[in-house]
Amino acid sequence: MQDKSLLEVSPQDLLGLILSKRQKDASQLPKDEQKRDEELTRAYELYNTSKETLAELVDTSSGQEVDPLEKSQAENIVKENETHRKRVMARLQRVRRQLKETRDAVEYWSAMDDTTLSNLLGDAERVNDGGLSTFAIKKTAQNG
Amino acid sequence: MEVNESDLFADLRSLDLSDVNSKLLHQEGLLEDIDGRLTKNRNITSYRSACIMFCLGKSDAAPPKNSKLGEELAELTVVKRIEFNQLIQQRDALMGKIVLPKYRIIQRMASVYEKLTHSSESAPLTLGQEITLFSEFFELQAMHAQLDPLATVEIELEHLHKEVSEHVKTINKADRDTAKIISALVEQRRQTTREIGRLKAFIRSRKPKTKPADAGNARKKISQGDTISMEDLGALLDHGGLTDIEPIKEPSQKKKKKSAFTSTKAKRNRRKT
Repeated sequence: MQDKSLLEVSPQDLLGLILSKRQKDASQLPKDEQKRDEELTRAYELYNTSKETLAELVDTSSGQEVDPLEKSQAENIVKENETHRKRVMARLQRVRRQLKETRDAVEYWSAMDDTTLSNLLGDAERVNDGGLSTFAIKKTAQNG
Repeated sequence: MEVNESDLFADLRSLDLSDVNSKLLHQEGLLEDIDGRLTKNRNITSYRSACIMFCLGKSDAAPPKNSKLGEELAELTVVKRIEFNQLIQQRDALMGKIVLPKYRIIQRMASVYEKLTHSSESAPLTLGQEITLFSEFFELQAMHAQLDPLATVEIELEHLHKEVSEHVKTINKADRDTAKIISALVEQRRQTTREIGRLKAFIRSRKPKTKPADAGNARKKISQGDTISMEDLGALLDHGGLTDIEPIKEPSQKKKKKSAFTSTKAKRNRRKT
């Protein structure tokens, strides 16, 4: 965006842009959530399958000596699948947090009234009245 | 003044003493004039120097105006520098309130705008961050607007700086010329004082070499009732006047007796009878 355009952005303009972005996210995130959910289901399936495979390997070879290489490979697969499952779970949780945050934001920005907006523009108002900017206040506090 | 090396007074010998005296008076007048001009030029140099120090920011105190010196350019430059200092203070006060320069404000606004209006998968904003950035964006806008008069101030400062620098150059040049004048005047003064010394020496050499009258002698003459000359009278007036003249006392008997007693010298041909 050009410098001049930035100076001409009004609070309503920016508010509209933020809301639009949040609404877009709010419509996209459930899809992401579903994808992650399906991914997690697959990850669980993989994990469970590998665990069963390992258990079968140990059971079938009862009385006989288990091939150590085969057992080690099966254990490794279980570990990998478990790590993958945890990772997919974390992704799903992140998407869910984002979705909640987005829904809260949509609610907040949609319900914006004059009083709240005026509070948000308090620092700008102070600077317009010839007061110190937040940067100057921080600097003074640091030096003091 | 050309002086014959063998005879210091060659050019004066043919002149009357009155002419030499008038020459001396002329030289003394000239010396007074040179001293006056030297003082004035030195005052000018000193004033200019104080002005330049102030105008270059090497001194905080502006030199007081001195209309007697007629240094209009230096006075004007001091006024311009005061104006310059006031603008600097104004600018610094404004920058103290805003802190960020305009280009940094714009950079920050662009970054804030980008964060607020574009989704980021790697670092999505929380609602709290969004609210803070929204507020900051419009504060930055207000800060930018507050710095608008700064552009005019900067232009004015640049203009004044150039003007003061040019004036200082001109004053410096004038000061170098004045330094030459002072140097010439010092040389002229040296020659004039030497000429005055020469004329005075010549006048002294032409005066009759009479022994100055002795005031003591004059007193003695008066006390003895003798007549005194005009020189004696002058000497008396120079040394206490006529009031403290006492008659010469006769030596006392006692002293005579004492001298008779104390004398142990042989007294030839003066036997007591």
